Amino acid sequence: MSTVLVVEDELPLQQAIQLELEKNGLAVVTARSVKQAEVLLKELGKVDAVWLDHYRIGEESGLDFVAKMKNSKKWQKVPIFAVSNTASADKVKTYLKLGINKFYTKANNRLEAIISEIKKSI
Amino acid sequence: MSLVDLETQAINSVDVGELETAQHLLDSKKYWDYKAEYKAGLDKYVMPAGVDLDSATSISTKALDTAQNDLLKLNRLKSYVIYGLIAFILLSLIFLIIVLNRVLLSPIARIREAANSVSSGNLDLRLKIESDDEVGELAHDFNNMASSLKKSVTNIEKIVSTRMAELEKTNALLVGRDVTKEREIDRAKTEFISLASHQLRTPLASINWYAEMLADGGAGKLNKTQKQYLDEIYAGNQRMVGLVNTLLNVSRLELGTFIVEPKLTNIIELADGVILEMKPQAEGKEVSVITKFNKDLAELLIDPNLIRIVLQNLISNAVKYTREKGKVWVAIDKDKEDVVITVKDNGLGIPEAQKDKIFTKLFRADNVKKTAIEGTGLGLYIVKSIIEHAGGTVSFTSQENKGTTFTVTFPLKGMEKKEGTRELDS
Repeated sequence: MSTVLVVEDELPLQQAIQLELEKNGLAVVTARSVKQAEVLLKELGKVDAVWLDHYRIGEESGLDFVAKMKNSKKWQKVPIFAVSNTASADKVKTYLKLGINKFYTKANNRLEAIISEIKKSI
Repeated sequence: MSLVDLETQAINSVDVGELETAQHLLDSKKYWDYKAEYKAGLDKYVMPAGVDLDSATSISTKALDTAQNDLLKLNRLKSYVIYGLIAFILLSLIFLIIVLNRVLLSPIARIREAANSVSSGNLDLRLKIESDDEVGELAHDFNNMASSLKKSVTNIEKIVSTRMAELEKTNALLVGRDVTKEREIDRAKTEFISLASHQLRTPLASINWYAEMLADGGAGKLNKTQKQYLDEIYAGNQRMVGLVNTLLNVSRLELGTFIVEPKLTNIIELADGVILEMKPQAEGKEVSVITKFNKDLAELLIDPNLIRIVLQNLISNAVKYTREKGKVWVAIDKDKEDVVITVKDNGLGIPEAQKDKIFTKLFRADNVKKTAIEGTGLGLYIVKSIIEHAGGTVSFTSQENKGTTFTVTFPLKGMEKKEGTRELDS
């Protein structure tokens, strides 16, 4: 079973994402900060995709996390989907430059549509 | 009258200086007739006595000529005396003028010139006092006046300089306060954007996703009424998302933080895409959308996101404010150096009295407020802001209950790139 790491600090959203991913046959691990996510990556040794919020996930932002993953031989090929309500246009550009698969604005997109794209990437 | 009378009269005339009268009398025919008659009479009596009458009369004529000549000389002398007197008076006047000018007028002219110079700002000018008379006193008073004026002006300059320094300090404080206030306002606006984008959008996303999950049967199958209520919640939430996005766009336009990123874009495809999105609303009211596109215009250097927002607002307004089975025309063409987008409808129209407010933020016309048609009153404001930023124009013609035509133009050469922090949400 493929595993998706969900980095999202808003608990109601995190729960909805988890439920919908699981409904789509995917295993889910959740983290509320970049630090937690890094710990999980080490523990798991493997994830198939990352759902990443940009803002207020601990002291480091989603960008720091993407930079770390793309700099690591082990994790650089893992598809990353940044989903945020707050990232500014230049931040979105930076995400895309760093090599994420796609950027979504939460409020403007259906959950099902994002998960469908994640599934395609795995 | 006799010959003697005529001659007496002539002599009298000479005596009183009326020479012309005397000459006239002596030249008259009457005189010579008398004279001839008189001579003939005399000749008749004296000739027999051996007297030469012509010699006798020539003596009296000579005496008369002499008298006339004397009189002429006298008159000439009188004229000489009169002319001499006039010349003397004129010479005396000229002399007097010269003396006056030297003694009186020249110093006055110098004082006048000095007064003009002082009035032009030369406050250091002083007159040289050359006499003890009234003119000298006037020059002395003039110098005193110039000195007083100089002192007054110096004092005023000092006062003005002090006041200016104080004013500059006050201005600097006020400007400082204004700048601080502006920064506070900017910060408040930025905070609003952050609040709207994070604090509002996050719960909106939550409602969206849970409503979506419920509708998909994630929490069990819904009955018809539950499904209907859920659809209302979802639709209401979508409107809220739309409103938040619109408000964010307004803030970004006002703060100038929006990005303009021109890229070669097929404007016809862009318009077709917007019309396709609008299809459910148009078909729901049986409104037909008729297009007329100039295919030569396909590739333009525009920000597709911004032009999409412009087209979305204009076309959705046209569809919204047109009655059932109405018509909407969308045309894209070029005119010299401009792209021309025309969106026309045969809908509600804009009331004459409110036409000047149509681009005002949050304004909705009275006739549309009476209907159940929803709107934020922000769409046209956003369209105008975007198009004016792109160096274009937005105009309209409208007649209530007949319809409205909006015309947007912007340069064919495209839009200029602008750095910013936010894209506008379409």
